[in-house]
Amino acid sequence: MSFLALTFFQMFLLAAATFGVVSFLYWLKPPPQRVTVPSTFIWVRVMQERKRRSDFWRWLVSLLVALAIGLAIAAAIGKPVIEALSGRARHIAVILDNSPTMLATTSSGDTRWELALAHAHDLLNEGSPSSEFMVTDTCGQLPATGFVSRRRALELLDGIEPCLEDRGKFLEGYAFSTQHEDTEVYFIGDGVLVRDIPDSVQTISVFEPSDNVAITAFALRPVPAEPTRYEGFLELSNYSTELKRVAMQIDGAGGASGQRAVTLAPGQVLGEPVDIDNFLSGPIRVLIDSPDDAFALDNVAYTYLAAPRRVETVLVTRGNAYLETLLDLDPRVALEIVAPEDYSVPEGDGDIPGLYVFDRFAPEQRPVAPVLLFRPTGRVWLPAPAGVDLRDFSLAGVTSDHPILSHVSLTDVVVERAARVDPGKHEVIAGTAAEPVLIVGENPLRWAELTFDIADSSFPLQAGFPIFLANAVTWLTSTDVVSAALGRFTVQARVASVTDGRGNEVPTRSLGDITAFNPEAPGLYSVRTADGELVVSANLLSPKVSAVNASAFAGESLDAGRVDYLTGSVGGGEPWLALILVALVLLLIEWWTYHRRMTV
Amino acid sequence: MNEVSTLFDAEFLRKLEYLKLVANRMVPGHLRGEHRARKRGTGVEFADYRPYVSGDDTKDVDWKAYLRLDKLILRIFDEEADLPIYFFVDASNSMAFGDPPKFDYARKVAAALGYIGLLNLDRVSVVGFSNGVSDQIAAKRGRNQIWRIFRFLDRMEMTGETSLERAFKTFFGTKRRRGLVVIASDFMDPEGYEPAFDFLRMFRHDVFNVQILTPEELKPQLPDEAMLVDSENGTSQRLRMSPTLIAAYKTEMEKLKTGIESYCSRYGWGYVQTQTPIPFENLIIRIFKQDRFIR
Repeated sequence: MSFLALTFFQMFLLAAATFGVVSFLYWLKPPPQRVTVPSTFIWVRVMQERKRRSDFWRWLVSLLVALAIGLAIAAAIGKPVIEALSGRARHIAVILDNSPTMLATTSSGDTRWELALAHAHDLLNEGSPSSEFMVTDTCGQLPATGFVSRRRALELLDGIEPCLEDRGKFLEGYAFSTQHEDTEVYFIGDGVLVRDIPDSVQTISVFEPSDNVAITAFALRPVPAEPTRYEGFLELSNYSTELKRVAMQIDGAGGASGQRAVTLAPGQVLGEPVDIDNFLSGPIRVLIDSPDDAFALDNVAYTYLAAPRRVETVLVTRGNAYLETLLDLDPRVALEIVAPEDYSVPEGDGDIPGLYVFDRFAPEQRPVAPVLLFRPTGRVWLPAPAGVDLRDFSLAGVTSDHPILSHVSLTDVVVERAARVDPGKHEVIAGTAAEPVLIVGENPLRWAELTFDIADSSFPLQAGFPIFLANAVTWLTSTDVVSAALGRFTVQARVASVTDGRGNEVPTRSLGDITAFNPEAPGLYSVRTADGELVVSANLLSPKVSAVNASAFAGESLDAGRVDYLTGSVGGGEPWLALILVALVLLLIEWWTYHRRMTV
Repeated sequence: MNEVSTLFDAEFLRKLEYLKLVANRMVPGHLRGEHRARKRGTGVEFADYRPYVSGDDTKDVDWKAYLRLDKLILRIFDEEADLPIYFFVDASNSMAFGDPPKFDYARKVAAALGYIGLLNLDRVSVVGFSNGVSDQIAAKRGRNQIWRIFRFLDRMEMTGETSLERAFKTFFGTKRRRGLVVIASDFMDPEGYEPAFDFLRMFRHDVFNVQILTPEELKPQLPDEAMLVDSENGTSQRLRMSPTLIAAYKTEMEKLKTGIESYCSRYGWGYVQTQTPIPFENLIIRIFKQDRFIR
């Protein structure tokens, strides 16, 4: 125990002095005067009569007090609801928008998320003590399961955090009104990423226009003419309503750095090449700075410059002039051609090539290296066959942003026959999920599968084929750097350990065959699995998220909200507490009257 | 008389003479206690007839009636008796209060009424009592006995608590003739007056009660908080005075008075209440005026 005003010893002295003074004053009280009377006989009778009467009243009062105490305690145990005292019992559902844009700072210095939490706390303090609440979010951190008490709801609220993934949406599946017809549903958000709010839901806006200049793209790619050279590409976007002067700082391994400053008009998107010729292999960070920037997540971006090198490539084929010629012409490729019957799994780690190309063949076991497959034979580690072959179709209109198809036109490609496979959860970058043509995967080593034999198509005759092959080699052999969004990343491995750019261990979750971790800030993460090491560059790089002013609530003032949800029926004190207080007061009264009866 | 001058001084004797004159004028008959005896027998005044039964004295048979009616009829005569007056003077410690003290007042009342009784040739006994009979003087008759009674009263001392019942049981425990019992007391008996009065009723005495109180007993003047000590038994009672408590006390005193009064009224007894500042001769005149004292 401690005291704010006095030391413990001083407090002890004060208490002792108080004790002494009070005791002395009581001791000073003069004793009653002794008076001898002829007889106290009449007085005794008077006192007996008074005692008889006062005993009755005392009994009656004591009974009433005891009844009141008992009833007050009994009622307190039952936690009564008195609307006149504590407000109406309500069912309030609160949906918190915890999408990344809620991390934007407002003019008050608080983030939109902090304002939303304050509104949520106000809502959870609404209504009588018996009101029930449901708290949920738009990122799925807290599923809408059912109504809970105020205390539990506040605990749940404290457990919600802003979500870094761009997957915030208003879940139509929320069945708030099915449990209680009088449910009041409130959405608290900025209306940027979660916009389609049903009319039945009352919205509370925490939106306030903010300045934001963002890095919306940052990538390294090999120079087409010089595959061992890389060039950087940076895209800046100004989502502010004002002209912004932006300072850029680029840092790389070995102390290489560069600085630039650009001016961006409101809404302007600026694509900038980044010269990284002088950069050594390793991490590269781009940092931008602009005045009054309210959203920090998109002000930094990371990537990793892999070391250019020759790739030991094993082509397993029964003979394919196109592949043999083109691969042999690629300066990055050191080609070895092997017949399928001669294929064997290397015994030592040093014998593992950098890339396998399987032409109409696939080994039973997945090689410990990136793989490019052309119409492979069915294997369990590959997408499973799904019926009869596809015949005579064109790839006209097929486009993709995937690096493998970068600068590759499939417009004139005609395919006579292709295998029909089930892509499962792998990414289809050409064709459809039902009729995939080009499938890619990472687990964590990359692979790509073309479902047709190039001899059964016009693809080798197209100008895009060499580019496709070069892209494939580049993408497949740069498997050590993977771009990822913030929030959640999974890797195909039962066990993996993750460290961030500073070497700190990052918590992981094993989910069966995959392992997940949360990149909570832009940066480079190193993932180690049994199959090898992977570098993950996690960045926001999302124009949709960075557009923090594109709100459905734009034009509304901050804090006013679209509804005045505070009804005034704030359930401050709970009646049971007052009842306990009443019981205590009555106990004091009873105690006092008990002592009074000694002197009458 | 010089021996008893402290209480029955010349002033008292002058008042006594005055009372004697008043008594001669106001009391032509006898004091109520001087009843005709119920006992039938040896007197000369004819009272009644009754049938003769075996064992009756044949000298009382009315022979003339026998001749007329042919039945043995007995003539009955009232027996003359001089019935006694018993003066009970409360000598408990509670009688020491007042100005003059209640005890002196009671003794003067007893002396004055005793004197009147002796003048009327009544047989007068005086008993001092507290928690029983503390002292007594045997029945005396004749006006010359008044000096003995004065001396007895003068010597009487206060002691102990009040117990009317115990005093009566002690005194009337031995054979006493029925008569007039005069009680001069404050009646501050914790056991109450009723058991004592009930006991007296058993002996069919006529009773006259004189309750003597001080003004302080009727209107107590006490500090706000007091420890009251009982003069008789030394017990104490702590009180916080308040108007309601004083009112309750007065009510209780009034209940005591009306209780005694109604008891006496119910059984044809006499009762007066007086306060010590009232001259005792005035009280005596008041007593004389009560038909319950004078027949």
